[in-house]
Amino acid sequence: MPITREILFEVAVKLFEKATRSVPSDTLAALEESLRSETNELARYVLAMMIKNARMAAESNMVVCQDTGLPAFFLRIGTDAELKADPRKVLAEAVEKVSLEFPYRAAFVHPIFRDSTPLIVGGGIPLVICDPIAGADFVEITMSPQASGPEFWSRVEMFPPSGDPWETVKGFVLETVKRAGGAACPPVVVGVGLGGDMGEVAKLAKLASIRPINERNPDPRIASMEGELRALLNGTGIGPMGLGGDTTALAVNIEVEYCMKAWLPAAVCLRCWTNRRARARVHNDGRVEFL
Amino acid sequence: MEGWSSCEAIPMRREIRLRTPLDEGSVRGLEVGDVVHLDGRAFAIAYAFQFQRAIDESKGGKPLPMDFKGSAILHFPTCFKEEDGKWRIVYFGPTTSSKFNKVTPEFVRRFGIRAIVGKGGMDEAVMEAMREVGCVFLQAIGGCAVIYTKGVKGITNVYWGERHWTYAVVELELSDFGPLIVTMDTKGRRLGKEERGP
Repeated sequence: MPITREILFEVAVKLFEKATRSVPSDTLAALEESLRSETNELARYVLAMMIKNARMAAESNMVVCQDTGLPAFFLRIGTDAELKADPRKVLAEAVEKVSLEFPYRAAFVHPIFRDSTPLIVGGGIPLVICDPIAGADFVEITMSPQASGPEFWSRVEMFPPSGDPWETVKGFVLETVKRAGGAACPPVVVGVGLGGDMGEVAKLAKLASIRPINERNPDPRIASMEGELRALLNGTGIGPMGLGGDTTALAVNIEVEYCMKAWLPAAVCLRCWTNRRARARVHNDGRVEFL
Repeated sequence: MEGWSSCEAIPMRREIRLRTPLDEGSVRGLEVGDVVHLDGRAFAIAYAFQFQRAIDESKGGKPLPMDFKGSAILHFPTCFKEEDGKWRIVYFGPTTSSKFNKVTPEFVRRFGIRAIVGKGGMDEAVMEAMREVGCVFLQAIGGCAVIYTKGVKGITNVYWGERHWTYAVVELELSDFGPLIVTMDTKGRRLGKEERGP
């Protein structure tokens, strides 16, 4: 039994609804953990409000944030999956249905012509990013709205490899988070991409940003750098919403690939405290697992 | 809506409930760090060109369809729909306020605005106009659409939505709308640094 258009559509609708109307459980747990360790009174107040809002959204089926974001679907398609639908078309239909029904604010315009009537789908929206998984008989879909505040401050840079590469990366991540300050709605989740080429490094940062926040990089050297960077960011004093405190980053996730000898490609993708995303696996036999 | 004080682990800050039109004395009494809840009339405006339109039409001697005097301005993109001939709010929440730095000093002075509710604070020119007029900046917590939407009793009017409804100026009736943290007061004090962004 193949993965039909109907199944894909139904899963995409559920994922888009869940992603925009709840905060993922790993992120909620991290916020609660921060509330316990935070020493700044105002920061604790702000964190408590965030947690309260996240709970109220899930209970009342309301959107967490008024910025329902640019919808992005990250697909991992098993090479043995029998996908009998055009994902771009079906995912766009799912986004359109949810956006019209609730409704969500139409927010997408041409980058140059800034059309007076904004769109909810079309012109490349939703984003659909596909990667294969060798041997798998399922399609894994991660839906994540890209919010305007944090994404605006995300950066890609091609550094020369001179000096200490790790110091270069630390400085770049720190400067990016400081530049964003409260405008990225901290505490942020920071996805860092290192290596590849210009396009790949941005994609690595993006994929790092949607990784579960307690999952460390499998390379222990990189995992320790993730911890070091998080501590560095929490030492900036930016705090929740930039109003001060010890909680600036909920997690730093790094993804790495090799690059040319002449380069040190680096990208930083920031995500706000809501860290909205939802994930599911659709199997060939029609089974759907929400992860 | 239950207040934040239900979160027992957190000691109380100074919590103040105010009704619009806000009077100058109450606003000048606010200090950075105070937590404010608002009742009464407010306007949600999330696009700089709408502030400019209000200024230009008022300068040209054209009477405006709305009365901003003493009101609170919310930098809140708003989602609403029409049901049975009435406007109903779906959700709203704060956007980055520095986008409106350029138009705000004149807007505050011309219309006697008493409170601006948004995210990330505004620049020194806005601070100067606020000190002069008696106006504060109230920080809303980003990503808290549910909490803030619950503080809206209803939409009383929608203006200037010709271009597209998402750009409209929305007049609202607030009820226990908050929490809002005073981050710029009338004594020129500021909590957090001014943020720039989209």
